[in-house]
Amino acid sequence: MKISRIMLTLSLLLSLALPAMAAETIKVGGLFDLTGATAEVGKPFLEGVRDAVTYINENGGVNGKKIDLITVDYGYKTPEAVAAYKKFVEQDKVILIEGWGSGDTEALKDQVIKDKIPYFSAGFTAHMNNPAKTPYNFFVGASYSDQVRAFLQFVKKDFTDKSRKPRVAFIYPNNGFGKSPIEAGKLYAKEIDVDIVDDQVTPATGFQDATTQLLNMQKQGADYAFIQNTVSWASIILKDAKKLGLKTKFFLNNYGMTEQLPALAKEAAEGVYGMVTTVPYGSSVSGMKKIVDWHKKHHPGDNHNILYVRGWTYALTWAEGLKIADRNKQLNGEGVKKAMESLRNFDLGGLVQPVTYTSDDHRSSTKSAIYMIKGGKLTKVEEFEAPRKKEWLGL
Amino acid sequence: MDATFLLQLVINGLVVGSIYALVATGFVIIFKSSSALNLAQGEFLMVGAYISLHLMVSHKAPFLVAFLGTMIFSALLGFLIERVMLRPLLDSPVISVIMVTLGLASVLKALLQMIFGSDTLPFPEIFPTVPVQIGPVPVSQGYLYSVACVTILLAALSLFFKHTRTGLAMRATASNRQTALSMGISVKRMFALSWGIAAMVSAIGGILLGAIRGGIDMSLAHMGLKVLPVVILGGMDSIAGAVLGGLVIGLLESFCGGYLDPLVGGGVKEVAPYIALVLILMFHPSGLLGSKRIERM
Amino acid sequence: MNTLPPQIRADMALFKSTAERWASIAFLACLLTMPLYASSYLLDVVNRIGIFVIAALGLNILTGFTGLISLGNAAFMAIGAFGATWLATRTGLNFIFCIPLAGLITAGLGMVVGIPSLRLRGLYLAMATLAAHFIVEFLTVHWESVTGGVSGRSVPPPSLAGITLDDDRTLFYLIYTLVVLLLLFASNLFRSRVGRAFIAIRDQEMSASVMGINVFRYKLTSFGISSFYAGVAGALMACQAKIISSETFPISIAIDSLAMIIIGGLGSIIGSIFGAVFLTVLPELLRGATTALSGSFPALTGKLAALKDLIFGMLIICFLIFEPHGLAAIWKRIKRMLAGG
Repeated sequence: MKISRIMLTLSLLLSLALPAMAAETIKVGGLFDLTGATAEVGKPFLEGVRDAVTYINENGGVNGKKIDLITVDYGYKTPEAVAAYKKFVEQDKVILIEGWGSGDTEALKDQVIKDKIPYFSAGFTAHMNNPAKTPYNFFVGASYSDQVRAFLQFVKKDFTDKSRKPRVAFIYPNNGFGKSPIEAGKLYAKEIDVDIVDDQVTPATGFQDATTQLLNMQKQGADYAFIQNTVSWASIILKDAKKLGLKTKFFLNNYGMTEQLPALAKEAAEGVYGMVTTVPYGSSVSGMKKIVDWHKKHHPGDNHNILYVRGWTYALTWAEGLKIADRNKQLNGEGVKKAMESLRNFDLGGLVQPVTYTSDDHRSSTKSAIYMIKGGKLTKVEEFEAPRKKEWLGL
Repeated sequence: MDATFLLQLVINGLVVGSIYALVATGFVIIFKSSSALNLAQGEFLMVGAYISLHLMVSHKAPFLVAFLGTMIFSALLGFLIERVMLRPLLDSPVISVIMVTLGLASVLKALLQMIFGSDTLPFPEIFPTVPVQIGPVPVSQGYLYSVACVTILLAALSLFFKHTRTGLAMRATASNRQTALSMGISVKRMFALSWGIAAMVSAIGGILLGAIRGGIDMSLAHMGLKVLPVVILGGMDSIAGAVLGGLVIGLLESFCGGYLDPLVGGGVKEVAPYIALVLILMFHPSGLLGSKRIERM
Repeated sequence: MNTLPPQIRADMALFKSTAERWASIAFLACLLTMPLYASSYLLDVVNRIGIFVIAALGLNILTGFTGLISLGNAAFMAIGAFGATWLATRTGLNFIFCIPLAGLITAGLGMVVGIPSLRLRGLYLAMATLAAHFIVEFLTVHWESVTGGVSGRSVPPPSLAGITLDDDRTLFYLIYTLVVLLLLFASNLFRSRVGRAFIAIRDQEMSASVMGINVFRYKLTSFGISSFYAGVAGALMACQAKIISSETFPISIAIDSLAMIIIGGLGSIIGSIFGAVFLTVLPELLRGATTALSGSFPALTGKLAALKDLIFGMLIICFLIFEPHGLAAIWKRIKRMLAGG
């Protein structure tokens, strides 16, 4: 009697376990910054990616298979990213990596070619969109360079004084992220007859005052300025600019123009423009509903923002690639890369510009939207599309 | 020579320097009493900023209440740190005390990060944002308060150290611990007091900095390192020196930022104080107002 | 050596007992065969430990043995890394020779930094080295012809007897050969007159100078040796990372180095090893725990990382107050218990 009971329980348990054991999981490595220099934007990004993965798994997964996202906080310290990467490849056998910034991406860009693992970065540096040099790197949205080109197009349109060329200044931190679009911007400005009158450099690690930089910029009489800093530092620059009474129109990039900007810069944010690749949280686009519903169900108390939505767009994009690779029975790094490069205008319901990758062009889109802060809120102004020139691949 | 530009740089330098002066004052108070470098001074500043923010935002306290609360908290923190960490090391070599402040800096920063997170938190507007015109130069009101604070503190602390019994007792302790003990001065109480005051003074700096910046995050801790060129310039055991040093370093940064950064492509402003530090060590280690006896063996 | 009384000879011996000698040999054997069976990730961690053993040892010579606090370890590692890379790319010299040369360059520059502050009290060196850190950082960003500025430089891999040492397995041998050599040098240093002078300076600078020790000259020597070690560690780090930039050597490395020798044991060679192992392994363990737990407790992910800094800070404070001789002293006590009890 007792033995048969035990046998019954065991076989019941086994029958429950069997389908679980049979279900395959797809391993994806995740490198994030939750505690380091870029944590303020890194944390909401992780939350977006993680929530999106859970959403995907609950809604059919990748053709029935579940994604297993292995989350690692590398604190923006490159050696730790490299160590975590080695673990991903050898132990976890990941077939895709969701990376983060220029530090980790630059350090691993050669290794991912050797190991054949597609690497998504949340850094929009154009150096990563040329498959001739970095065939396994991807990112979702217009590069910083294309954002600057779009900005320059706006300048050309907005500047009405016919007697002279518009004067533009660049403000950026002295690191890879900061310098990323400057050369491309200067080249394009020359092409469309815009004068780049000044370069102002801010510290990479942190500052409380940008007055000397702005005073120098004031001397050059810039009509427009593009700030290639993240939101905390951009807000300091804007506050000092407002204090000095500068007439310059300021533009931020897609890491400066977030919902945090009006909270930090307060009145100094009013009237400021910025480039947007991923739409603000709560925008009325078709793809936003599932995100808002998820937020209401799981995080009703949290404040979600553009970075959170960005995380979703990344996960949704590479999950699509995983689905295609799985259908082609090529669930490995190389297969996923090919699958990504088969995406043509993949529609994310307006969350980000439709995504296209080809085997010789990893620019998902060259279009960005310009938003303005009106009444403390991000308001859409206009979209601009940078020309898609072959010689600008990687620039 | 563009006179307006120069004037703008001078005023900007002085007001930014006033914050350095505040943090440096705290550092000097500790050095004067215990001959120790407090490498956690920047973290005291952060504590002040975060506690005041927490009181104003989470507890909806009006500014004055939050300010008092922060002062009390900082003083208590200073006392606690002195009791728990510094008292046991009274007879250890000075380098142990310096290294323990490094550990303290890590602990404070980690605790703040765990409690408040790494996001930049918006700081409530304590002062009206309209800048005040000083000649051709608009100055944030926050900086004016900072200059006022420094002036008041300098006067108050000078009076305190010269004319009150406790102040004299603290100076006696700094000068010769054994003699002070034999005169009946509670050395332990003097140490506790110096750490409490130092924490409070830095906290004021933190509140002002938070208000000026509009937001606070972990990068505020950098102030703790910035303070070292200031105290070397001013003289490590002189409060007036700390104030003077702060203003001079502020001016130095402003001039380097205004004149040299455009030539080099940035970065001179941040490195100049450290170059100044090395030069001062080479030629006049006691700084502007420090006493000569402190530096040679 | 052989004219010294047996008690002193025993005290100065490298291995205190036969058991210790065999244990060390067995340990070395395990270590030497590691690249054959360990995973790439494990080797990465082990290689990083080796690099930091060298860096920590150098700092311990200066701070633990000579009593001079330095916040310059990151700057000196940077000089070593960029120096070696520049030499290799400019002259085509095999990187393996650039490593000791970079060490010498770093030692030279280190002594230049040391000169103004070594005549002053110990804590002035702390400030001078901190200043040196920021000055070096500025130079790595702006001196682009040498350092590649913010884009950085890729490091030509060293080669030995025709084999290119460009992965963790082969680099292991290079790194640990240097670790062993530099450990032996350090332990011989402290059995010699020079090393004893360092210790005398730390313990009683006044008396040391009265005894006729040229305090300034020995401080400078200590600083030079310490910088040499840091330079070599930096060059090895460049080998392992393969790409270096101005962001590779932030101030946190200098603070971590100090933490290593405090926790490991000031003034102890084996303490430097303990400290390096501890401070490299603990973050990896914490990270593993965080990753494992983040599935079930996602909110913890951010907090667990700050936990590492909290633990380090608390350990520094606790060790300084209760056990200034760090893990090395605890280890000695354990050995005594095992041997005697």
